[in-house]
Amino acid sequence: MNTTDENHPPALDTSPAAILKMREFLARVVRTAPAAIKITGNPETDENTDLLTANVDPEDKADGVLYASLCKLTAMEIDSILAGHTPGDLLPDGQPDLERGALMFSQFVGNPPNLYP
Amino acid sequence: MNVAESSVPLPKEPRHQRFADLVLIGKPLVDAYLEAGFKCSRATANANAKKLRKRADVEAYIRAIQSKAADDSTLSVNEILRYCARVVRTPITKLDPRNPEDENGDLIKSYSINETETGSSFRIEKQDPFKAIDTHLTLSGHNPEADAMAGLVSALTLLSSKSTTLPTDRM
Repeated sequence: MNTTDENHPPALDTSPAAILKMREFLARVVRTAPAAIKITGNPETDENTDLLTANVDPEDKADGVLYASLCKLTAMEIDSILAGHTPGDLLPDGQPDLERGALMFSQFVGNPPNLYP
Repeated sequence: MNVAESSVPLPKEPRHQRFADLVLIGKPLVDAYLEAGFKCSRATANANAKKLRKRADVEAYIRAIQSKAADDSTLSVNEILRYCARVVRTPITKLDPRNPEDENGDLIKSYSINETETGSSFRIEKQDPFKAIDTHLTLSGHNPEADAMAGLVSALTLLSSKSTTLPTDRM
C-alpha cells in the first residue's frame, strides 16, 4: 500500500492480486482465535501477531495480560464490500466498490503493533 | 502484516500484470493490451494481445487469481452468515480463552488473564451480537433502517386512508 502526505490520499492498489491478498488477510482475521496469537519474545517464532490490534502494549502481551485481535465483524464487512456480496454497497454498474473497500482495509489494518522496538 | 507476501506468481513485466488484471475484470484482450500501456495500432494490438495472453507467466497469474478466488482462502457469504449466527447464539459462558483448542475461540474479541498467588481469573469480550445481526441482515439483502422506514410509511399510508385526520399527541 502506498502512503503519501496528508494532503494527498494514498493511491490504493485495487488490482485483482491486491484485492485477493486483502481478502485472504481478512479471512485469517475472522478465522483465527485470539488464543492462537503467540508472543514468544522472538519474531521468528511468533504466530499470528499481525492480527493484533495496534494498541497492545508489548510488555502486557508478553505477560499474557491482554489479547485483542482485529475486529472480525468489521473484517467481514470489508470483505463483503470487496467481494461484492452486499447489494447496497455495489457501484451503479453492479461492480464491487473496490476503491471504498481498499480504503476501509487500509484504515482497518492501520499501523500494526511494534512488538520488538 | 502478511498482506505484502504473495502466494500468486506475478508476471515480471508490470505492463504484463496490468494486462492480466484488465483481462481478469473482463476487458476484451485488445482493449486490455492498449490500456496496459502498449503503444501500437489496434490491429497490431489484437495480434500481440493474443500472444501475451498465452505467455506462461501471464497464464499462471490469471489461473492463480481465478482459482484462489474460488477456494477456501477467502470468506464465502455462507461462512459469514454462519459465523454471525454463532455470535448471536453462543453464550459467553461457553468461551474459554485459556484453551487454544476451544471450537468457539474465534468468537472471542479480546481477553485478559490475571494471575495471582491464590489463582487466576480472566475477563472476556465476545464479538458484538447486535453488530452480527446487522451484518447478517445486510448480507441477507435486508436494510434494517430502510425496512423500518418502509414500515413507518406503510403504517402512515394505511392510517391516512382510514381517517381524514391523523391522530396527534395533544387533546
